[in-house]
This record gives sequence, C-alpha cells and structure tokens, in this order.
Amino acid sequence: MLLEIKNINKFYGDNHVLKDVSFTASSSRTLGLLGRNGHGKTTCMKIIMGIIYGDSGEVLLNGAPLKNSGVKLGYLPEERGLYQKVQILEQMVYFGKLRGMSAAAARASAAGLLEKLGMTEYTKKKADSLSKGNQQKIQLGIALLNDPDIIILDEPFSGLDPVNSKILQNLILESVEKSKLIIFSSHQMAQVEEFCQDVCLIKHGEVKLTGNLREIKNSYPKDKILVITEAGEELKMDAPQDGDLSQIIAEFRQKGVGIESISVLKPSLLEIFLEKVGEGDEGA
Amino acid sequence: MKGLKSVISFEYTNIVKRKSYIISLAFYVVIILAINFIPAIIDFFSRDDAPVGIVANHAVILDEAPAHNFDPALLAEFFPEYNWAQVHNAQQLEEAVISGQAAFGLRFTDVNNVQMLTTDAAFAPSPHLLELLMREVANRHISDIHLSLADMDMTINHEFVALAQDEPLAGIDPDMLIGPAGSIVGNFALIIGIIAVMSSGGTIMASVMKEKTSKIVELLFTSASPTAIMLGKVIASALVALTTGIVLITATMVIVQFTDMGEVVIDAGILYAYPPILFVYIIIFIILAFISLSFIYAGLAATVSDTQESSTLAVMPMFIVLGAFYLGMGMLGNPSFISETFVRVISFIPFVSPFAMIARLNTMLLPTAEILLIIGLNMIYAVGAALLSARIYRMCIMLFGTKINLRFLFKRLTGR
Repeated sequence: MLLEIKNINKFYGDNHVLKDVSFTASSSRTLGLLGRNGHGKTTCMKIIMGIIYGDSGEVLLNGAPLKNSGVKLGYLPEERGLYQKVQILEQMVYFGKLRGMSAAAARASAAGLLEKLGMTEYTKKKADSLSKGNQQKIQLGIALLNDPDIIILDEPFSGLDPVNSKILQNLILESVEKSKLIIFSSHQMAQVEEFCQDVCLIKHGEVKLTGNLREIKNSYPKDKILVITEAGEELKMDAPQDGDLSQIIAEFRQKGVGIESISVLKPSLLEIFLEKVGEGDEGA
Repeated sequence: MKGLKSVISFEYTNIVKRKSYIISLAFYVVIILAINFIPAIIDFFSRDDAPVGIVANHAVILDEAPAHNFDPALLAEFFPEYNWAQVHNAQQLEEAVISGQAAFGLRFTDVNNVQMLTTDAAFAPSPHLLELLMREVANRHISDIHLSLADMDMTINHEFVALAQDEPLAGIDPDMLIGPAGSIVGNFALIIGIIAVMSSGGTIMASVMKEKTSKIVELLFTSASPTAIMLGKVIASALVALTTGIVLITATMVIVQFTDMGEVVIDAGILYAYPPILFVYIIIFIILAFISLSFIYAGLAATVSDTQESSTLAVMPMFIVLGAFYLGMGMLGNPSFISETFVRVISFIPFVSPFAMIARLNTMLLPTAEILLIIGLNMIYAVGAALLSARIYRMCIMLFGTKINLRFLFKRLTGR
C-alpha cells in the first residue's frame, strides 16, 4: 500500500494552515509527522482520515482516492475523548459496531486488545474512573479495534509513563510486523528515531523535510565530530563542511592537546528538527 | 445508512439507563398515582352514606358532572314517567341496572357526555326523554350519548340528531361534529407535542455538546457519517419518548385497574364520536414536529462551545415552539377568534405548521388533500432540517474553538 498526500492546501478563514503539503507513506513502515504545535500536523491527519476536507489536493491510496477505497482506518485523535459514564467494553463494542463489525467480533477484538493493554480488570469500569493514561490506552484500543490497514496516531505517547509507553510501543511494533501503514506524530524525537523509517517535518503548514530518515541523516550536511583527548575529555563540535578533519587535528596539536580518537557523528533527529523548525521561532 | 442502528441502540440505552431518567420516570408514575387517588380520597371524606333510593324498575342517575342540570329532582319534574334516584358511583349504577332494580341508568360522565345502560332488550327511552337528550346534543350541551342496550349499541351524536331531524349534515356547523372532544384531544396533543419537543431538544443538545467538548466526535466521524450520527440521536430520542409514553400509559391503566377510580377517565365516552383518522393525523404531526425540531436543536448545539451558550441559543427554537403552541391553544379555545386565512397560511410555515395543524384539525373540517399536502411539506421540512443540521454539525464540530457567528455560518454553508 502506498499512501500519497499530494499538494494539500487548507484554509481556516484567512489562515492558510496547510500549504501544498505532499508526502508519501507505505505499508510495513512508520512515518513520523513532525512539527511544532499548531503548524498543521493534526489538520493534515484529519484530512487523511476524511474528518475534514482539504481545500485542494488529493489523498491517494495506490493511485486512487483513499475515500471510498474500502480500506480500514484506525485513528487516535490528539484530543482524548471517551464517553465518561459508559463502561469500557461497552463503548469499545459500540465503536466496533459503527465500523461495521458484528457485536460478537467487536467484543472479542476489544477483549483481546484490553488484555494486550493490560487493562482486563477495567472491562466493566466506566471511563471516568480511569486515569488519563489508561483512558489513552483505551483510545488506542478503539483505534486498533477493527484491525485497520492504515493507523494514524496523533501524539500517542504524550502523557504516558514509561511502562505504558512501552506497552503502546509494543502494540505499534506488532502492527508494523503485520504490514500496516502507520503515521504518527510526536514531540519525542527519540521515539520517532526508534520507530520511524520515514519522517515528514512540517513548519507553518509547509513540508520542510520528508523522506527516509536514514537517508536524511546521511545527507544532512551538518555532521558533528567527537574528539576524545588523551586526557579523556570529550569534545563535540561541528564537522567541517568539506569533511576534511586535518585542520581540526592541526588546531589541537597547535594547542598542545593530544588526541586519543576522533569520529564523525551523524546528526540526531532532534538536532535536525531544531535546525529545521527553528529555535527562536514562536510558532503558531 | 452505515452505523445508524448502532447509534440508535447506543444512544437509547445510554438515556434509559441513566439514573436521572429512571428517577424522573418513577416520579411521573407517583404523580399519576397521586392524581388517581386524590378523587378517591376526596370522595372518601365527602361521601354521604345515606341509603340510595333506588326503586325497582325505575331509572337511576349517576351524576359525575355537577355543572349540568340533570339532577334527580329536575328529571322527576320533566319526566314523571320514571321514578328517578341517584347513586354515587359507577359500580352502584351498574349493580342497580344489572340486578334489575332500575330499568336503565343514565351516567353523566362529564358535562358533555351521557351513557345510557340497560339490560332490558325491549327497553327504549321514552320519546319524551329521547327528545330531550337529542335537544341537548343539538344544542351542544352534550357531544354524544352512548346507549349500551342489551343487544345493540347506539350513539346519539350530532350526525344522528341531524338525520333524525331531517336536516342535511352540511347545514351543521362543522366544528360541532368534533365538538368538545376536539378541544380535549387538541389540547392534549399540543401539550404532548410541546413536552416531547422541548424535552427531546434538551437531551439532544446536551448529547451533541458533550460529544463536541469531549472530542469523542472525532472518533465518531471516522466511524460513521454525521447524518447517521444525528439521525440516530433523533430516532433514539423519539424511542425514549415512546418508552416514557408506554410506561406512563401502562402505569395509568394498572393504577386505574386497581383503584377503580380512573373508570371515569377511561369510560368517559367523550371520544366515541371522535373520528379515528384525526388521531392518525395528529400522531403524524406530533412526530413530524418532534423530528424537525430535534434536528434544529442538534444543529444549534453544534455551533456553540459551552453549555451556557447552548442554553441561550435554545431560546430561539423555544420561542417558535411556544408561539405555535399558544396559537394552537388559542385556536382551540376560540376557533372563530382567529382568521381562517391566517391559520391556513401558518399551516405551511416550517416548524409552526404541525402545531397549527393539530389545532385546525380539531376545530374545523379540512379537505383531505390539504391535510396530505401539509403532511408532505412537513416531511420535506424534516428532511431539509436533517440535511442542514448534519452539515452544520459536521462543519462546526470540526471548527471547535473557532468563533462561529451567523455570517461565518452562512458563508461556510453556501461555500462562499
């Protein structure tokens, strides 16, 4: 499956929130949608889900419009919402039925997911008796209920403790192994680096960077070098643009500092993110 | 429509399982119980236990409507052929007739209705009495007289009187055919209509607001269409109203059965002359009013961001509904007071139409074609309200946080 987002534009009144946004995502891979708050990630996800429409552009699946393609979609919205006075299993079954599952199938799927999420004992509990993190897990369960082919997760890890975060990570990895196409947004760059093969970085509604994460890092001009002196001191600095380290070595010798080792470091996603979305940028 | 059945089932279950719903329903049942027992209690303390003078083979009268003139002394004066006596309740009346103590019984269930009971197959009211009863009917003091004879049932109503007097039916004031029953049915239907619309409107607004503020709606939109969600809510709300009605009617009947006090209400006889087709029309108009206005409430709820705003906005349709309700009540109270052209015109206005029609149907004869045309128009209004509200719902829900005013709404709806 190849999902293509092509030249999407979206206006909220006079506010041009998405400007010719284009990127692709494919099955068995995870795409990380990055960007600061209010720069268009959620709007983009909602357009893919068909919750709102773009003013122009297309969302294609294998070359045909995603809408009415019959492919199953799973969505975890950024804003967490559950029916507070309804039992967990009951509302999961409700959402399953809305997506065309039989009551029995929805019940079985919900029970299986609750077990994976370590929440079996909450089956009969009402949502308002659950912690925020647990409500978030239930929402992820709802998103995965009908075994969707495309899974879109808006900030799935925000507000989760490390244990719950790990549970969610496992569930996402399981979906990747099942050849699902996953798009998720996150501010936690370490998680994005761990999960995502592809990234798309949006700033003020414009795509600043998109493609394979490894290739982006390899081609990123601003490598770092790590120098370990004979005294055991670790020094990190920008690598010369031409890649020639001899001048740096010469500078160290001139200062009388012996070098134990010198190595080139690829930039971290966080560094690329900060570089691209801008420090000192107030954002929206 | 995908997901519609699930939305209906979920919304319905959610409402009827709520403690507030169960408590209020129980409260209504208690109120009905109280209403049924109050006359019994009053009667118990005011009952005159003196023996009732029933003379064999003479007539008895049960006077449950003290406003009219049929007291035994007056009857004895006008109809000396019968020896009149008075009983105090329906059971005594029936016992007197069944046991043969009285040749027949007259039961004035209210100011407009008389039941005549007898077990004597050969019995016929004296021409003198029959003439009086017919005159009372013709003068609209009584809407109909139901004669429960041993082997036949006969109703003396305006039509019967007209035929008996050799007058063409067309010469009778049309509202006389419906008469007091129309006023009672009309008032009842308008009250039921306004209660149903306003309570359902509140429930639907709260439900939409809750889903909007809690953001569940984003999940819902990825699972079912906005139209299915809204339609499901409205149908579920209608089913809740139906459930409430069934519970209350059943409770009333059970209470009546056990207390024997509601017999007056059930047996009132006032509806005997009421054309059944009017009941059908009235139910259709109540349902159409319910559906159209419920959609409007749902659409309005989608445009606001908090409960306070929704309460303010709810005033707008409430004014329309209340205006239509009072207009209908006014028409029922004094049919000749309001111009026929005016009521005909407002019968075509969306949302007001069902209430105006309920009043018109109960105060005047209307051509069937006109009734069907207005039903058709109201169906179109309901579909229009559903589509418009679904569009507003979808648009506004997803613009949560954006200030929405009428100009903005109009621009978005018209795509400008």
